Order: sequence, then C-alpha cells, then structure tokens
Amino acid sequence: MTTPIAPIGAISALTPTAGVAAPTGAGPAGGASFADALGRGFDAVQGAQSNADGLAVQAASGQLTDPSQYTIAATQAALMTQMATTLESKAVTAFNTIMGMQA
Amino acid sequence: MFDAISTSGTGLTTYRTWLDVIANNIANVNDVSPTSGPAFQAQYVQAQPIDGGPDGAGQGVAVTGLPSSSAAGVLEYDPNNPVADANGYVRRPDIDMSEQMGNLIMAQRAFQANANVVERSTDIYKAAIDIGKGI
Amino acid sequence: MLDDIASLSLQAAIGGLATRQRVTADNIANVETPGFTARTVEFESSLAKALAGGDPAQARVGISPSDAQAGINGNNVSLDTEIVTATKTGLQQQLLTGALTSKYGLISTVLKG
Repeated sequence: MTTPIAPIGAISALTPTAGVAAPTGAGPAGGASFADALGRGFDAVQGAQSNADGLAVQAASGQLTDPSQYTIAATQAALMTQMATTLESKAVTAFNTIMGMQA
Repeated sequence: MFDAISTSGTGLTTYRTWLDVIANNIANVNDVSPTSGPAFQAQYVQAQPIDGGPDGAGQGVAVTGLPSSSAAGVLEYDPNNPVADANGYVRRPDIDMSEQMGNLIMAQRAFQANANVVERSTDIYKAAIDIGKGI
Repeated sequence: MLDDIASLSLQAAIGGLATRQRVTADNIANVETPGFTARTVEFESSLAKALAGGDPAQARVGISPSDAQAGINGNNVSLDTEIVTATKTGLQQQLLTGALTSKYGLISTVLKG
C-alpha cells in the first residue's frame, strides 16, 4: 500500500531532497516524483565530498599549495551534507504525515 | 604548503650566516701577520635569489659564496712587533670597523624582519586552517 | 568508509608528522651538543609513491641523518632550519587532524539524521 521510501545507501551515497518542499501527490503516483526528488542533487553532495577528499589527499602528501583550498572545500562538503540530512529527515516526516492522512 | 615560512627560513639562514661572518671579521680585526704571508682576509657574503615557486613567487635567498677581501691588507710600520720584517713592517687586515658595524645592524634588522614574516605567516595560515571549524 | 583513500592518507601523514615533530624537538634540544648530527624525517615521497600504487597504508616514515655542514664542535644542527620545520609541522598537523575530524564529522552528521 505504501510505496517504500528509497533506501538510504552507504554513507557516501547520501541523497539530498533538493526539491521536496511541495510533495506533488500523496498517493502512489506521488511516490515516483518523491523518489526523483530524493535523487535530485545527489551528485552535488557526492561531488563536494569527493572534491574535499581529493584535496585532503593532496594536503597529506604535501602537494597542496594553499591550505585554505582544502578547508573551504571541506566546509562546503560539511554544509551540503548537513543540509541534505536535514532535508531528508524533514521530507520523511512530511511523507509520513501525508501517508498518515490516508485512510 | 606553507611556502612563506620556508622562504623566510632561507632569509633567516642567510642573515645568520652574515652575522657569523661579521662576527668573525670583527674578532680578527687586530690580527697582525708578517709581511711574508697574507693578512687576515675579511669575508663577504654573496647571496642569490632562489627562483620558481609553485605560484611563481620565488623561494627565498641562498648564500652562493663567501669571497674574501685582499690578502695584502694594510702595511703598518711597527718595528717593535715580534713578527715585523727587516724594514719594521707588519700586515694588518684591511677591515673598516664602521662598515662592519653598519653591516651588523643591517643583518640584525633583516633577520628580525624575516622572523616577523614567519610569525605573521603562521597567524595567516592558522586562520586558513580554522575556516569552517565547528561547522 | 573509515578506510577510504583519504582517511588512510591522512592517518599516514599524521603519523609521519608526529615523528617529524619529535625528531625536530630532539635536534633543537641538542643544538649545543658536540658531535651531534641532526636528523630529518621523510614520508611525503613514500606516501606519494604508495598513493600512485593505490594503497596509502604502504607509506613508510624514514629518519635519516642530515647532511648539513658541521660547525667547530662537530654539531650540525641549524637552529633556523629546525624552527622553520617545527613551525610548518605544527601547522600541517593542525590542518590534517582538522581534516580527519571533519571527515568523521560528516559520518556523524549522517548518522544523527
């Protein structure tokens, strides 16, 4: 009856819900666009994390010229991850609320 | 990483070398030598810039040589000196004390300036490292 | 997730920097000891090679005697070089431990939901 929420994968496969402010449909039809919305922006967070990781490896092997490059990238990755996590939990809450409204 | 500190470090090393050289020159300013040999030769520090950092900024200074001044020194008439030659002359080093003292002050100021750069660069790098702390 | 390339590289580098800090402190303590030979620590090239081979855990920390010229009493510690090394090592340690902390922080953020 209830369409399953897309599973949360490994830590690195975080899926932010960038456009989920207005769930377009409460029923199964809304499930498809909900999954799309969960998937949207996934690449952005992945990209930010792996960019920060790459710069961290450069810093570790002494090849990074400017340390602020790494700290800025790490801050961006941390903020995007936090935002993704927050949006996802709010989206799950909203989804469950709407689901609970159905008979 | 943190290249400004390495660059200032080369300055510290170079000016400390200059300080050692000046100290040696001043310590030996009254060395008396017989005319048969060389006088004490004051040393100078020859320095060249090091080119080509990762962002093109240059990487400091290096000592490339310690040339000596003339071996002839200054002939002085001092017949009572035990090393005086048949005509009563001895050799003294050709060192100008005021020049050495002026160099000493320059070396000290330059060393202090480089140490200052190390300190300020450390503060700047710490600020860069602290970006995003606590997020 | 805790043993990805970036975490392993950071751990290897942090270990190397800790060794470098100890060796530098030892050099500075012995700045007047007659006949003392300063030592240097090298791990960056070992880490770069290990990374090229895909396994940063293969990096090794090497301690070798410095070939700086010795002074009159046989001591070859150059105080300004050691102070520059100590300053840079301290900053690098701050940067890399901060990097490891923020990596663990990302995992913690997600776990907390």
